[in-house]
Amino acid sequence: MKCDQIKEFLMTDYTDGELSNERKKEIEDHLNNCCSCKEFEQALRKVAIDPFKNIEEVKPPDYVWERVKNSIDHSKEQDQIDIVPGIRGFFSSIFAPRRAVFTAIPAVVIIFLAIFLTRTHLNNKIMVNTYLNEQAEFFAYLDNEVNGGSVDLGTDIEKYLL
Amino acid sequence: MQDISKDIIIEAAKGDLESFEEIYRASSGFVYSVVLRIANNRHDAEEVTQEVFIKIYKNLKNFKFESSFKTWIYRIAVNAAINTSKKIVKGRYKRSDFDVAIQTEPGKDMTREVIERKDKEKVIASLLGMLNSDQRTCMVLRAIQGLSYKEIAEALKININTVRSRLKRAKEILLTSKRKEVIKNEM
Repeated sequence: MKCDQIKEFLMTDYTDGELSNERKKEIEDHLNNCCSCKEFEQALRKVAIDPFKNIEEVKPPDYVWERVKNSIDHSKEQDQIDIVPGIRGFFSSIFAPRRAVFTAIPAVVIIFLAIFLTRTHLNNKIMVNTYLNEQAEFFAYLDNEVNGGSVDLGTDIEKYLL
Repeated sequence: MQDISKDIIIEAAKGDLESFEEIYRASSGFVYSVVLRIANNRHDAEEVTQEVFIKIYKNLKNFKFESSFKTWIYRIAVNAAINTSKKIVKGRYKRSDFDVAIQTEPGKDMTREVIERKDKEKVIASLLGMLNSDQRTCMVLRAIQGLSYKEIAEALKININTVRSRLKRAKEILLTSKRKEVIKNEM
């Protein structure tokens, strides 16, 4: 193996214990015969390996557990107080400010449709009534005119029938 | 991190606080150490550790034993630590921290052991401060916590070769920095 490859392994798998025994032996044999790689390995261990060895695990202060426990107890209490969380959530979603627009739009449409249909229905009724009244007046007029003889029916058959 | 039995995990998932406390005792050291070293701030480390365990408690019921429990905790802790460290302003890690450690005189009440430990912590913080978030995370998990490349890859959800290249780059940076220091001292 070339020195560049050896140095690659020294910086990674060799010093991190990731190599097979066979490959490890190969590198050790090279180090025994190459001063440059040997010096590189020593410098690497001094700066990047040894300072991190035998570091004590640092435990968190006791109050961290107390805070975790309190947070868990608090969220359990919240779940119990919320007897019908679904209903609360439902109302929250209705009245949530960012959803107000989405709630208002369909409401406005529904109101508009109701007014439109109601007015249309009313208008139709008025038109029908007006029509009927006009027809009634016309027939009344005809009735008066015919009986009063002022209307000339014109043809003999009409005279015969009447 | 200590092993945790399946029964404890199942009980804790049902809401049993005693079982959850066992999980906390077994893994809080790992979580806190990792966060502390990646974020390099005790206050942030305490807050993040708290958040991590609350998150673990709430999501225990979703843990399906498809991966190892340790890997699952590693993942939550490391993600939280990385997110915190990315919020830290650049330049907060300063080379001068190491110089301060050398110049600071020890207090009278401190034992030699305590002084050495504190100095060592400062050296580590200084070295890790030279690395970016990704390199620092891999160095902490490998060099301090002793995770294998495979475990690191699973925790970070990255390729094993990515782990290798980040560690290589991290060590190159540390070597280069040391060489510059030696040259500076010689001048």
